[in-house]
Amino acid sequence: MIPERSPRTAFHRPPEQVMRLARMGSAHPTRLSFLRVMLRRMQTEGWRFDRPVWEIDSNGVGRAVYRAIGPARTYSLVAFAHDLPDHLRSDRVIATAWDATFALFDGTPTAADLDRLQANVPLQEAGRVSPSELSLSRANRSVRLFAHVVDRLAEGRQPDKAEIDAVGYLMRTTAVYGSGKFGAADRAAIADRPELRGPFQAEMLSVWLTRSFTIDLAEHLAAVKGGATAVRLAQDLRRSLGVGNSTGLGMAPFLIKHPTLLNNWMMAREEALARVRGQPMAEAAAIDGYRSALQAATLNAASWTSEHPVQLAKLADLRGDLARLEVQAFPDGPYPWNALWLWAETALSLEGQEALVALMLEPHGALIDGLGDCMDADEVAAFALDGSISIAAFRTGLHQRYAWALGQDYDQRAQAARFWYVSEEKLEPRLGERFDEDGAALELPIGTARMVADLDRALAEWPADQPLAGFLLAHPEYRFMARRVQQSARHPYAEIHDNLLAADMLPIDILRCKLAFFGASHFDPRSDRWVRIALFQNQPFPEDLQTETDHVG
Amino acid sequence: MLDEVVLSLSEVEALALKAARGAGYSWGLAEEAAFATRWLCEQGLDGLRVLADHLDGLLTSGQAPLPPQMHALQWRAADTTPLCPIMTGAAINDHFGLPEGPRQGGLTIGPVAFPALLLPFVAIAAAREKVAAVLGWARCKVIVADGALLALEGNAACNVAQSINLTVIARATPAPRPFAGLPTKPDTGHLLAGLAHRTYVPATDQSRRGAGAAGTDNQ
Repeated sequence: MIPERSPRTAFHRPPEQVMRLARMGSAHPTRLSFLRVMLRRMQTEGWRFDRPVWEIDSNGVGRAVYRAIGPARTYSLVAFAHDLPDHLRSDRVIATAWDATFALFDGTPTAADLDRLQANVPLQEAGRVSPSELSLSRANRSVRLFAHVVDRLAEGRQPDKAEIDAVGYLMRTTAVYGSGKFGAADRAAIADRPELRGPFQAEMLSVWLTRSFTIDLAEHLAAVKGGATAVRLAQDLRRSLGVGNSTGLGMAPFLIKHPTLLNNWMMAREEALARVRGQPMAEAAAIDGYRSALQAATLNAASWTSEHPVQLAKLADLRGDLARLEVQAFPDGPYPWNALWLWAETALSLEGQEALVALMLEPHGALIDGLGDCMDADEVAAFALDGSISIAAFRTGLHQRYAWALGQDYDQRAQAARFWYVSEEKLEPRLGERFDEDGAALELPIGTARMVADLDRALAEWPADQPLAGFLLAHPEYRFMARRVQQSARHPYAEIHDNLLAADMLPIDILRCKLAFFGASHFDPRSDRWVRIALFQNQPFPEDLQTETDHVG
Repeated sequence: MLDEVVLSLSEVEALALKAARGAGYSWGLAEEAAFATRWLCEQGLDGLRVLADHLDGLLTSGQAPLPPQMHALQWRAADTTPLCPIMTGAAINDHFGLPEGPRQGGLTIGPVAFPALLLPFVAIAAAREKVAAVLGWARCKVIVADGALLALEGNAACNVAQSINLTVIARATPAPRPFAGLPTKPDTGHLLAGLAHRTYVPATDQSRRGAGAAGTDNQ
């Protein structure tokens, strides 16, 4: 567990280093990523899995149910497969039809539940689910790869490995809604269940079971097409397939809207790194584990493709750095992990450094896996402002924690170039150009740097010995930022230390940080605000968890 | 939002936040309004109805939300216009442990619009200070303790309370109250959705261009 105010040691990286967008945008998945946490739990607790319903016709249309049966409770992915004309297939949130739609059901659904869900789940945002559902999601096929796999299997042949590697998934989800969206169960209603307390565990389960569905559907269609000639997908090819995910700007404001949650994710990871750096010696087994993780990361980087210029440069950095790590002798002497880390800070790019974080954590499960239980947040408890603090004390804390934001001129066009807003179109969050577009009057409170500078200027005009309460009564317009400043006192990693309105800000950096915490391993930006990833690639399937014992570290 | 629908608490909170913002509250106060609305719904009261009526009243009257003026043991309005319950509630939270707050001999507050919206603020501030609190107005008496509703006598729904008595009592623990879900009436939902809509920016070709992927979706 992280102590409430864990003393920051020389092994801890400070927020000033960690919370920069350029570094967050170089994040890699670690063993504390949410999908790894979920798989470990299911492995440890001996969860069982089955598929009690498979009502899919010869056109690939129908419904199916995948169950995950845990020691205390059962969860079911209810999947609906549709016949989607090509011209309606869009990953944008404004789409209204998909190849497949899903809900994660709390328990085992009856036929009546399935009928109720069938009337709503295919409609997604336009339907309603109930507190019996924990998530609502949809996915589109990777049209070319899906067809290739079906055709080959129908002919009795395996698909081309290069084709599979180039895409990495048969379907990609375009939204996974949880936490009370569209009538689903509130997080508060399920947060006391150990298996769902961690962040996004219901969503991860839904996506993982979706992965099985995508392969079952392809094999089903191959069997329809090829009859007795058809074969099933080979084990190694199955394993390399994940579930794609297409993520746009909509996900970016989440990390700014949930500062205490962001803090707890970051703090758990940073505490883990500090624990590894703080080991006086390196066990031989841990060094072996590090070396194998490095080999896996090198393979992952080799198979990682992108056409985006920013990502191409980062990939070159990453591959170069992994090669450097490969030849770098493991340090002798005391605190060898720390020595390795300090060397990396001088020798490697941000991509390489953040990859190394994951590599160093990988062989230290016994030391750090418990931190996975510290990544949720009680946001209600952190909400209320303390008005009794003096302006002087409040400003002292502000100056300590927000030095990065003060002293900038936010009247400069480049510093205030953007504004975040919600579009009327399907309520999609978007990013506008303040000086070219209308709508800045409706901007979302995302510009934390400028807001804190404004707040500090206003506080300077107020008597220093007075309590904050009087200031906020007179100036409710600063209440939003004052709350964040106060939350950051106990949550040092709560704020991104960059100007999120700046002309050169890259939203994909925010997206990558969040997706790495989910456990994504390939990041393929399609623009500066849109990224493709794959989840669960090279991870076990439900049937593997039941039969294998040692692959989920 | 035309049929009666049971919203989840996170939907209640999101709708209340946008509606309060759409009605003109600053983001920080809109967050307080969302917190208060969710709290009322969690306690089994129709928070969305109260918020909708309050916001509707503000817009109909054209009055800006009014913060309290603080005097010894009394918080008053500048004139006969009722105080804003969101601003007053936030001020109760902020001042609870300060000399202006209710801990030294209680407070008389009024007039206040839609006083039920004060309850959440008193409840969490009292819990933080490890006390409970009693609020009384007209024919209504409410006890909040441990961050929740402990007792409610009479009807908390009321457009204006001329005078509210707020006193601090010893801490108590209410029985846990499982959230059952409240159907939201179509007119409430419609009104709040209309206000929420004011926070959205109309789509333009330029905004659409910046929203999606640069390449094609299919591969």
